[in-house]
Amino acid sequence: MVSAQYTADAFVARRCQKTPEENKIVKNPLDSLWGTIISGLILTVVLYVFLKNFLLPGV
Amino acid sequence: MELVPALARWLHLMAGVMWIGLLYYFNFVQVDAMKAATADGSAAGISKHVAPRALLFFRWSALVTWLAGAALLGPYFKTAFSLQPSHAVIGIGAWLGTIMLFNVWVLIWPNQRKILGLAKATDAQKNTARRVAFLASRTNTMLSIPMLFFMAAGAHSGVYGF
Repeated sequence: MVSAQYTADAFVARRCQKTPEENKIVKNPLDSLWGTIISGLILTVVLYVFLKNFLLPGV
Repeated sequence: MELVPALARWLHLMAGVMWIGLLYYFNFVQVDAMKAATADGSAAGISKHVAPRALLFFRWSALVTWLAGAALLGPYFKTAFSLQPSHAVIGIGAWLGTIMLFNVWVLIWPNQRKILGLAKATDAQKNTARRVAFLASRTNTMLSIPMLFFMAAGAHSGVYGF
């Protein structure tokens, strides 16, 4: 039986694998602290707008 | 005083400070410190004596934070997690915290065990584990920003315009 841990590890490991071309072109914002902080701030704004417009309309 | 909610809130805050404090320590301090320590050959001190202790308090404070938060929600647990309007703000914070707890126990800790030599792993597996644990930790740092916003907003909704 395949454990949940193994499945999660395998999934993430696959997601983390990049082709050489992707390594050259795509930069992961989470590789830098500032990228991480800016991503968190953007996500905060996105969730705030989602909350105000879809979960709490008229509030 | 309502004893259970008061104690749950106190515990939630204390454990949460320890969890997120250690998360920020890992991301803002230890990652770069390990690079510098590896370069001058002193990384073993961190990986042998600091990291295992920090991870011990990190993972258990994460669990305590979540459990105290669940106790704090009490009868509104389902309302919050189903994002009903009355508890949607804290519900978003609760979902983010839950994803972060999952990352700690399913992605960060098992992979850190391989990195620190507490679990058997080949060099290739250790390299993958390093990347997975790093990205999960950075993801949690990113998620902590909106999570703390919605936790604060849930308790002080008027200030945040909800």
